[in-house]
Amino acid sequence: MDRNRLGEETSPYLLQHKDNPVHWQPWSGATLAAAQGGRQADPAFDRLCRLPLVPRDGA
Amino acid sequence: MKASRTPAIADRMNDRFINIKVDREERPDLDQIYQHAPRIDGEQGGWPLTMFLTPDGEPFWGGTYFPPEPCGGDRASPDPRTRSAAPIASDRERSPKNVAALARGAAAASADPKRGELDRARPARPDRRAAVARGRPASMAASALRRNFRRPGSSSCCGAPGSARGQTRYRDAVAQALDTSCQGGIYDHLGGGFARYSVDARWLVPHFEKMLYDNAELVESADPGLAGHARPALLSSGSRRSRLDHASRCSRRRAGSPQPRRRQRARRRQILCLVRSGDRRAARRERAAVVQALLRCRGARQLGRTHDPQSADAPALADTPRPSGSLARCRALAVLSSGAREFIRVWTIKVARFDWNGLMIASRSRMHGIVFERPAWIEMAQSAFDFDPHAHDCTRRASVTQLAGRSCPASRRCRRLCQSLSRRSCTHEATGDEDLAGSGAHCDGNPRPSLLGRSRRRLLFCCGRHRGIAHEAPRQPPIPPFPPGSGDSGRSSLPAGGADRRTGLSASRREWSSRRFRARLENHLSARHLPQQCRAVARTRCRSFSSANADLPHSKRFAPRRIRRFLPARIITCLSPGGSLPADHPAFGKGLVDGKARRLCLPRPGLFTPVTDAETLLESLARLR
Repeated sequence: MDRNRLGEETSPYLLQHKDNPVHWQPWSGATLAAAQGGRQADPAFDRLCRLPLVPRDGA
Repeated sequence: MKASRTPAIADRMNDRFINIKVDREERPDLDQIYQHAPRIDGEQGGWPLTMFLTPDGEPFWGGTYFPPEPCGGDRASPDPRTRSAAPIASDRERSPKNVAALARGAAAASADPKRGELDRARPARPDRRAAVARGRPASMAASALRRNFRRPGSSSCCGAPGSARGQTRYRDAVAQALDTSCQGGIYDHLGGGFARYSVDARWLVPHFEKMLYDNAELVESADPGLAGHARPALLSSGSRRSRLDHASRCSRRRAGSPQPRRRQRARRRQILCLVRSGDRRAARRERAAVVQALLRCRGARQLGRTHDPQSADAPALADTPRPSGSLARCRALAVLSSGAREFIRVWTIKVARFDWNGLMIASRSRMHGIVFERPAWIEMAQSAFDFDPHAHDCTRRASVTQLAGRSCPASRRCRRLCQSLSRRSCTHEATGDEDLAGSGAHCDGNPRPSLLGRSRRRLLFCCGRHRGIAHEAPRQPPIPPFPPGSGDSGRSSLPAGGADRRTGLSASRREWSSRRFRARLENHLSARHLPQQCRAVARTRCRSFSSANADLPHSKRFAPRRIRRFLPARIITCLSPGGSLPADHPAFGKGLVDGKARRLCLPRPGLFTPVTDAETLLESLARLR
């Protein structure tokens, strides 16, 4: 988890953030296992983005 | 987004968390799971969603947008200095409680038939409107507008009291917010309209998220915040074929009966019209007149609310005195007739966007009289579009500054000036009206195309062969007063040789009047930037009126207001953003999608009527004649 691994992904949205200073990880079993394995004691920080054309705010 | 690019925040996130980014389109199942958590926690769901999870994947805290620093009551990004997420995350005692509370909330939500709805019982945020109304510092207003995610209501609530007290800081904040919004919103990827959410700090790349009501509120807030005079009232009503048809259908529906399917469909289509007035009270009267004209308007939606004649709102509207004269009624009819032509389907944004382009440009145009006189705006323009203020004519800056003030007694003159500038701004945005080149403007071949400078006295053409900065036609020199010592003081008591028998004016006086009249007419035509065809029409009309009313006194035949009466006060503009943008603009090269609403017509000062096709435009012009 020492580097940004989004460059290995195929999603255009994730690829936009491959140069981000945050060490973003893809959602995978390995990432979750790393979180559970105690390498990082703190919770995971999950960000879901990229919405399709749907109204927000209940419009 | 912006927060995670901040090095300090990124370092902290890397140090304390395992950061996972998920594409919602790839993993809608994860989105479905975690979207409930912020709602249960009293926050609003949406995207981008930021969730803090336990190592087991259980959510315990989250939200949507986190600015790098706390702003306007919003929580900040997980920076420990801002006392937000990190202390909670590191609090070993509180995290399990949070997880348990969210689990209980999720269980309750799954049992609730209204599952997924926004939790209305969330803790109230500071009442920004009340704070501003109480005269809190303008920094609060500014902070409300500084965010990427702007709420249009904060623009209006900050701008009105600020300008009423003469506090320019409020107006500056509103103006800057709206201006940056417009810079990005008009030329966004989808073709037009305000986007209230930007993905970059300079508002060059707007988010695709555009709401009809957001745009309506932004249109409303654009004018009072910057023009400072007129305050439009918004009227929104649903219609399938026409507003009248819709209103009559709704009025026939019996109270309490279920909504027919046709009406459900009709309500999805909305019309937005602007009823502009000089002050707030008059705007309310006009709005009430329009509502009354809508055949008692059962079901018509005004300002987002449903008005029923039997409801509590009805007495207030009924008690509102009807405006004297026919102005309001004419405006109401104009709104109705224009509304009958216009559909804006709310749920299909791509259909409505070009109509919004017209509205946005029209509303923004009114602020152009004061936009570029301020150093902050010029600086912003410089950074955004390489705008060079020294390359533009600033000779009228002082007059614009003076006239734009609320204390200026010549408010009519100010409005006129703003309207005149607005036409140039529309052209500046449009750059497609080649008739303008034939109206006396010429290109000086300035090799530096600038997007923003075209709203000033000089116009920039970026369309086709007209590329460069164009000056408007030179004004006619003022006609000196009739020389008193010329042997004819004007009107002779007895018809003498060469004097007109009806008016009693000498030939020299008549010639002087005619020259003055022509000069005034040409100046008016020049100031309005009318294309050649409209100039010819205006000249013919003025001549016809003069010859047909030769028995009228000279003061009435050649009065300036009569000249203005014959001028088709209107804007015709072509929306072709791809051709007018600098090459480095993110929307460069993205042309119109289906070519709708390429033209905008302002048939009357104060009433905006976006026109979506050439036939309607010609019809509007014919109605003016």
